[in-house]
Amino acid sequence: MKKPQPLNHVRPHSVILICMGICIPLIIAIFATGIYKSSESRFATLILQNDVSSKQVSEIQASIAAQMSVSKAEILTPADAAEFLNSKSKVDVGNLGISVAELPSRIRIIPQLGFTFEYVAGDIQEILLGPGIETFVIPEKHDAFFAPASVALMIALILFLIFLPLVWISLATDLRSYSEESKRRIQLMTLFGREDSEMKNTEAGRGIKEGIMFGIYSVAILLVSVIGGHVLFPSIGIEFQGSMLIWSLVMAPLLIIPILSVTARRRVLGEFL
Amino acid sequence: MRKDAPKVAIFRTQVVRKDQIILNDLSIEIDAGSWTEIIGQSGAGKSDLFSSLSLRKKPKIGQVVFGGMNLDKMDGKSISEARFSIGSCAQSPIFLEHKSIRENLALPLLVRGMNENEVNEEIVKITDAFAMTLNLNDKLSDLDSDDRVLVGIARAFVGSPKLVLLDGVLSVLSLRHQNCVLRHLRLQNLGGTTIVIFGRSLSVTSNQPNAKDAVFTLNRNGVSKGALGSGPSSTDTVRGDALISATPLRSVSAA
Repeated sequence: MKKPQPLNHVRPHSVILICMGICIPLIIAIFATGIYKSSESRFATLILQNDVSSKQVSEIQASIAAQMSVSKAEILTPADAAEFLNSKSKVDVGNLGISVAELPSRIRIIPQLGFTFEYVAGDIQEILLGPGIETFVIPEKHDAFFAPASVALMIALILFLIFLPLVWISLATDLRSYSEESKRRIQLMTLFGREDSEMKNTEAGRGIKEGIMFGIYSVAILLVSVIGGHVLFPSIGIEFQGSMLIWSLVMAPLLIIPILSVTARRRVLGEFL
Repeated sequence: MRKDAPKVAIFRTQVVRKDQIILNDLSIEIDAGSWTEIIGQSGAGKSDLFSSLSLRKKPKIGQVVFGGMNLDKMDGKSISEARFSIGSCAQSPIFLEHKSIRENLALPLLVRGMNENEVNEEIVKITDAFAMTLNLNDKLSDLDSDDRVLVGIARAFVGSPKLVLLDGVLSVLSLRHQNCVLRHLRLQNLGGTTIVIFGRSLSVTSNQPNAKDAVFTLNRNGVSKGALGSGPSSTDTVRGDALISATPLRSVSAA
């Protein structure tokens, strides 16, 4: 006996819904993550008080980059820093609301416009550098709400949340209405006296119910992964792109579970009425 | 003895196979509580008649009358109610392959709204009647063709239908099963249930015909009517728009 092949019976409009509901948000999310990554290049700028050899500079650079989880560590010798600062009369230091002139004479901050800065020099100095070398490490702190990447990601998530239940409703209805076993059940129950239209409505109703449940399930997983990524993982250095990565890794296999559960349940449990 | 078995008839129907008319202007009437056998060679149109008389599908041409109601004028609810009183088994019975024998036997009863206890009682009754030695928990997909047909026939009888139609299934059964089935069929028929058997030849029960027994023979010339025991050779041939009535030609007590 030929086994049911439910996925052969997915209607074209379900495929379109899948594309709209999953693929498009996923593509937007991937692009958004890409934009975020490129804009989020955290880097540290250190101004060294004493002159050091180029070898030392390279070592410091590598250590800073590794310890701070930054993509780039820029090292400015005092001479370089003086030249750099002389080229700017005033440097915006973002949310700190202070200018270069107000900083202590031996402290320099190289800011990036539009970002908030965090002063963590002391920690790094203790960890990496010996006495006599003063540093300021200026990691960026991303303003998640207004960044274009985050807006794109929000759109992707909203699209996903809207379309996912629809995808599941459509798919689940297809699986119910078009699988061989389901067709046979409708045929038999009609033959035994259940009204044809009533049967089809029941099947469709089940599909919708399952679709809604799968939608809720998927959204719950989505929220857990994103919130988990945002709330839990920053403490160990994983932030937004980390949550997206987890989202991708966790969601993809979990989304298959409802499909498996439909076919498995149909085979294992009684579904007479 | 039940008195509520429906009279069923088909009027002026046509059997078409590959754009060729096999039977034209065919009419058959089956009396309530009768034992009727409709015989004919392969491709004679038996299965088409079976589908129409068991209300599985409407004929493209002609009318089906069930219990005094014209199928064309029956709404979905009425057809469903009529199907409650019909038990049928086609040549290749359809089952839920991944379900057990018990679940397949229970399906018509569950559709009729019976509770679990009633369903279990009915299943025990029917399996005893057919002397079924099968494990009821076996899946249908694991059964051989003989057992599948036996389960199909048994399913046709669950819920005490008023009309039972069997299409070419008796010849598939082993002799032991055949005897059990025929015995049960005759008992039910004596209790007032209308029995309609489709096959290539007469069933062995034709050796013990009853007053209401009748046989229709389908052939190229139309339909012949006769009585069980006398064989189809002694029948009249009726063509055109004539109504063939299952009038018994010989009455023998089956008791």
